[in-house]
Amino acid sequence: MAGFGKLIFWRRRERMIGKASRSRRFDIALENAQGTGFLALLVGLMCFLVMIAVAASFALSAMSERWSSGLENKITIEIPAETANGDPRDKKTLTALSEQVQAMLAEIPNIKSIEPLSDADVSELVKPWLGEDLPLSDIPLPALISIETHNSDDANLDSLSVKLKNISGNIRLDTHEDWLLHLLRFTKTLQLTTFLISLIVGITTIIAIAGAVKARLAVLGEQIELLHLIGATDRYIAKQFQTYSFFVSLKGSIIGALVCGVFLLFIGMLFGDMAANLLPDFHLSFRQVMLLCCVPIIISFFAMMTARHTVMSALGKLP
Amino acid sequence: MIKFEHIGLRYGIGPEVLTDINFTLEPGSFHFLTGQSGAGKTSLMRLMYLGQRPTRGAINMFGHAINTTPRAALSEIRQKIGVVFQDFRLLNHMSSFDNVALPLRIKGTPEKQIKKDVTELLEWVGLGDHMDTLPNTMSGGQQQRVAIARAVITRPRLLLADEPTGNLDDEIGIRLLNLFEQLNKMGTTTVIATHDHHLIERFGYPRMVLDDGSLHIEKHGSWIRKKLEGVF
Repeated sequence: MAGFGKLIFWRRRERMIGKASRSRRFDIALENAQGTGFLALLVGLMCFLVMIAVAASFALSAMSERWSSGLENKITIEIPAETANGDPRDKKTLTALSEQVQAMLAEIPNIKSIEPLSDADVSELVKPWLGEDLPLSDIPLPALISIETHNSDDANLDSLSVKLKNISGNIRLDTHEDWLLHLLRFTKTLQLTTFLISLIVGITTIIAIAGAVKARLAVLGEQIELLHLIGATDRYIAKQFQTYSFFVSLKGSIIGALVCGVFLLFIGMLFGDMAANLLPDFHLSFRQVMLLCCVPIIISFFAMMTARHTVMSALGKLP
Repeated sequence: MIKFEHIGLRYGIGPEVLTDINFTLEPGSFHFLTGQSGAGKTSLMRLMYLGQRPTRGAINMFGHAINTTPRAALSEIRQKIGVVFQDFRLLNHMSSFDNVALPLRIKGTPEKQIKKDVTELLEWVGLGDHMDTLPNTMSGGQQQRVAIARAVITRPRLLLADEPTGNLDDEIGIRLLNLFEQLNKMGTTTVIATHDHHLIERFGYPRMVLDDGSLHIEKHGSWIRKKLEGVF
């Protein structure tokens, strides 16, 4: 905003001494018009909101990628800690069943790798839900075997399921598909929401800029008519508004972007190192940062084009 | 050549302020436009500097039929017209230098040339010391001279001036009329709207007289004398 302060200083000085101190950037008194600071502030806020929405979209994208990557062809076999009738299985029985399943799996050519999870691994998995303080050794935990297949089509899965049922009726096969699909659908919905928010903010910005330009057209109507009468083309006049709108929007959106950058850094510091895998990744890649940096330029470009369109259609009414 | 044929003008649904105006201005001609207040001088001037479209009739300017010329092409025609407005219409946020330079900048003249031409002209009209001065801090006469300088800086093919000497003392008024004469001799068609009968008598050019929305051209006695003496 220092630029505006400097401008006001020069204007006051000029009025006091009655001399123009420097040559003008615009033939029309656009810089003197009221509301320039307000417009910049508005664009800054819009830029902040758009950047937050875009950053959220990046985070959601990273989250869904993390959830889905590596889970393809990965299956978890769960041997429950109780029988189909509800009778508890002791540790020895569970281990025996697990070994039996592993032996069966080893004979299937479609199985790429077999990795039985240790008790410690299983305990670690249930800790976030049951808490750190509970004595997990007292709770009957299922035996889990993580496997990777070459091909997870329905025929292979059905065949595997039948073989597991032959060992024990209540052994479950978890392909992660159900919960993952729901989560991915949820993140896609959130991404669509952020896109819609960006779109609404963008449209609002365009409407605000068009309104500001129309107000200036009304206030500076005499000056515009003068330029028109001494031979200025519509393009010449529109260019003045374009340049003005571009630089005001650029000033505003750079300030908005800087505030957003500080905000994202703060969020990154707050959540970035959290170990919980369910939380989105708040660290932005270099490419994503570059894309975010483009937001002020894109907003300024749209402001410029909006100003051009508004001025050109207004000038079309002149003789 | 500027030709008005059966021009009529009305504002909205009101009566015609100009009725069946017909005239031809030959290139390099000089006319005074006179008429009582409310006779339609300003309306006729607006039509001539293409600030208004007529309600009826045809205008031909510099070989272009204005009625059929695309709107975008009118800017180029306007650049050939210099206008001194009655209320000057100076841009108060710009120095007198920038005000005079404006038509040149619109035409895309190089800055070096602009500096040379504008400085020379402002010095000629006696405003060499006021190049950086903002118009709203100048006297009426000084503002008028800036407005005149702005109108003539491009050496227009048609110069229209609405009461250009109204705020000036006689000496400066005559000096500026001499400038208009010089431009006229270089080929600029000139029309000056004025009430100043002394000026009309002194220079003796033909008069376009507007009376109740109608126009007739009077060849002034002294102009006829000059013509017969072969001054033109």
